[in-house]
Amino acid sequence: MKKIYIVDDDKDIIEALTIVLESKGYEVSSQTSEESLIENVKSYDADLVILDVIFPENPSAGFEMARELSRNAGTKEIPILMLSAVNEKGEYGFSFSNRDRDEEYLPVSEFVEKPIQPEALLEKVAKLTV
Amino acid sequence: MLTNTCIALVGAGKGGKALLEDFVKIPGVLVKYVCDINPDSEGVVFAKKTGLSVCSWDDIDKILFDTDLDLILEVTGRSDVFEELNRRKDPSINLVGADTTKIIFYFLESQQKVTNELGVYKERLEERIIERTEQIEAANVELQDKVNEFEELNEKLQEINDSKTKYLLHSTHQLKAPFAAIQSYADILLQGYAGDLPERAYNIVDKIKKRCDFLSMSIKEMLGLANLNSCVEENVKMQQTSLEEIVSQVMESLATVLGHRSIRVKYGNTAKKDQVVCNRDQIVMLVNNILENAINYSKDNTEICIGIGDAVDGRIFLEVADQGVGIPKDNIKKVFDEYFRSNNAVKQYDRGTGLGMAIVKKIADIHRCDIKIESELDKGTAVTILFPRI
Repeated sequence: MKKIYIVDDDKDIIEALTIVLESKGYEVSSQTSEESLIENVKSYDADLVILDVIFPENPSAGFEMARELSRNAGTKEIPILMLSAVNEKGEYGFSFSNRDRDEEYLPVSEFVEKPIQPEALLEKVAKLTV
Repeated sequence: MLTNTCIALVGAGKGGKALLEDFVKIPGVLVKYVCDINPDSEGVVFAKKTGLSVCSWDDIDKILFDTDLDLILEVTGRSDVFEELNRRKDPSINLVGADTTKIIFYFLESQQKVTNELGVYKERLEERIIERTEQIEAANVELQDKVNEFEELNEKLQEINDSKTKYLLHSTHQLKAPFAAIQSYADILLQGYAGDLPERAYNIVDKIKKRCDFLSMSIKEMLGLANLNSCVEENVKMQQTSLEEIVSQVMESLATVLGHRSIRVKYGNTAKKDQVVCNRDQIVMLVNNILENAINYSKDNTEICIGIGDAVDGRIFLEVADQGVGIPKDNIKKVFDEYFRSNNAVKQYDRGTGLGMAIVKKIADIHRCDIKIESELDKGTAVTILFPRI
């Protein structure tokens, strides 16, 4: 079965995602900080990484982790699903900047907005783990 | 002014000298001869000093028959001298007697006086110009200081704005993150991912979810409005965008809701060119709020008409007209007030925040757009936004 690796500082969101994903038979592992991400993703042999954007010490840690994963030879092929409580369309002008939305700068395959809509999440995960 | 006039002065005493002093200052007047019976007279001495040609009384014929002369001025004051000169001179030469010469002298003197006064004025004027120039230079320095001060203040404001934006982003996250977790759990429970819920429990979780959704939307709108109210208009990024594209984007996002409510949408674009200069995200929000209102306050199985076109005054209009509950006449202006909701609106749709139209107004102001609302109770409402032409 496909393996999904979640990085989010909110344990409840990890739990909610895990419940939904495991219900469809995905294997799930996770971490709540940015530490040793590359090593952990590699050793878990993930098929998909779900990344939160904002972390307590760094409001754009998710973007940095996405770039790190895409630059590393061992993880660059793994699709990334970005997860955030802030709408990626930037409706109120204080969301992602245009630069963040640049595909080269932000190598992210898909966005999922919080709260988790189980069906929408499963649809995107299925698409990215074909 | 006399030009190229050649004169001779006969009689160069005190008065003659005074005349000479004036004549030598007049451009275009050539004093060809100065003649006096007394070789030491004041006029003769002055003439010699200034390099004028002096002629003795014995050589008076040189003067009387020099046809280059235009004028002989007799300044002796003696009528016998005047008569002799008049009798003997070449007829082509004009002779002016002492009396007339006196008038000329006075004229010259007053002209000299005027010239002197003009000189004084000129000096004063120059002094004032210098004084004013100094004042202007000082004002310029002061102005430059103010400009620098203003630039510094502007930089500070920019910094404040940046930190405010960061604060808002942080607040949004802080407020939305817990709700996101609660809403996620509620969805998981409601959709059976954690097993089946007894009916009563299901209904309670459903209410929790709905309340969370409402609170989440309120937070989003409150922060959104706060952000719009404090935004520096110069910093809002504008781009040329098709109004139709924006309307399509919003209609797509609201398609499911429209379907649920059995509301038909008629759309028409008659604008020659529907391009507007705007902040796309803000105009998406404006159109979204207007259209959401039209849907929320429409009755089921009715129609919403969306039109884009050229207004008579050359602007581009976007009109959204519904067949909904309408707005009481006295409340039309109040719909732009934050948190204001009409009683009939609350009856029709109890989940509104009362901030939607306040946000619309703010965005319209930022974009120099006008808003027109026409409404009739129980018949419907038409909201028109007039965009400036590019």
